[in-house]
Amino acid sequence: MFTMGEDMMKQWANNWEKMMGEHLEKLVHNEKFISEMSKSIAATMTGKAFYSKALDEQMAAMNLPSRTEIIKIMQKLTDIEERLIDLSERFEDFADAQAKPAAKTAPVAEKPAAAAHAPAPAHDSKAKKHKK
Amino acid sequence: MIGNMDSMVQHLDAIAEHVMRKTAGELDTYPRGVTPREEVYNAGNVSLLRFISPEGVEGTPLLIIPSLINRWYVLDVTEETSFIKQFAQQRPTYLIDWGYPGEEVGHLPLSHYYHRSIKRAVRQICRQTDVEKVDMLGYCIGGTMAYAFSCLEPDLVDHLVLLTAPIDFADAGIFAKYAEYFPIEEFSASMNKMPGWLLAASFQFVQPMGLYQKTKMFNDKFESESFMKLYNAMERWIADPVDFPGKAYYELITDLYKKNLLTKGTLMTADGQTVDPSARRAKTLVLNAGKDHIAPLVTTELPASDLAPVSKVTIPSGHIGITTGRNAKDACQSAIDFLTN
Repeated sequence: MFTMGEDMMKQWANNWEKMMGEHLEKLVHNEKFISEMSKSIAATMTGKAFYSKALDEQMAAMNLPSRTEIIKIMQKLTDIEERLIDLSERFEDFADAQAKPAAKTAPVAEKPAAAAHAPAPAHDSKAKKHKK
Repeated sequence: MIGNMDSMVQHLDAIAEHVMRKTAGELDTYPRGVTPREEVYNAGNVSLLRFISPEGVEGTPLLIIPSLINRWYVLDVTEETSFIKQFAQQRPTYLIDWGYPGEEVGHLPLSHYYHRSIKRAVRQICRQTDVEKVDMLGYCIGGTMAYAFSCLEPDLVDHLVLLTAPIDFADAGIFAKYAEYFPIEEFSASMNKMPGWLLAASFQFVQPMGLYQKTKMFNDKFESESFMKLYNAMERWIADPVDFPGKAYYELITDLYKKNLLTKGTLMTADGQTVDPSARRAKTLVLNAGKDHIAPLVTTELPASDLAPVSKVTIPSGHIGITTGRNAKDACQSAIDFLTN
């Protein structure tokens, strides 16, 4: 009797899953639904942009830097960091190119085998070990 | 009185933490990636990781390019399923960890990632291992980026494995539909990043019964130790979302999903270089998944103008299943066979 009840429950759950699955699958693939949902997201984003602008103006009125301005500064710093990385790479390449002819003329025995395959130092000179 | 309140709050806090730890169990301390590794280079948010290989392992280094949409360690969630562990036993293995990009990189274009960052990593590997080119494996959008890089720098890539990597976005399935209607201009005007939680929610949204089915599967299998290990590790990975930099996201949606510029051969980097598939020379393996709803099989087709030698293997699994499911070993072995031949 109990097994029959359990089987019925399982059958009911399977039918529910199948029905809901088909229904929701159709819904999330429906272009009209996607379009309406996108309009709702667009309205939220427009609202967020308006709110952020109003907040920026309030901060400016109080002579305080706004979040937008701080992010712009951070992005400028990122740009400077990127330029520095590019420059240091160019410098390394230049130094390598200068060192190569000198290495060719140097006696082979003077070049330690281990050093030839030693890894280059990490860019920030702080290679970190990750433990498991 | 206030002192008593403080100690009571501290006491309750300790109880809550204890309960959470007990409930989370292994998940609480589960590692982000299991293969031992070290960071050998970093630039901003981006790091280059080198996985520890056994003594004497040598050969062309392999650089793994994971997706920007989620964390890299889906390829290294447990010892049993780890692609990275397998690769590291065969050859020097490196991986680009994109980190957790914030709003400070929201203005960087997609080409910053698929060209500049990858080139820096390749340069470091070449300097460290004294080679002139590397092998590459790109997963998901990481595969798209690795492909673009192999078009831009054909001399630096020897073998390329595209693991469920969308290249042709002309018919990119459900995500193409969402991309078509996504209010990208409003997004660009209001946000510097696409929040990771929203991306994660959108992946769940397109599979509405996914959570129910996962819970049902959990109920059926929770007594199996091996299942619980993988389940916990995967939940750990799912609960670790990453924000997508704003401008890069804008370009991903407009240039790739909407305009399909990569396949058309008209995708441009920020400094004006054309990403030309006909320039590519790397021997390529397209390793795709037959039940993939994120990168359906048609999206993994390479452009007709691409004349590089290409082979294909299709694994009967889904987009994530190909890395951690029961067929993951076959997928990994296919990649190893291709890279060693």
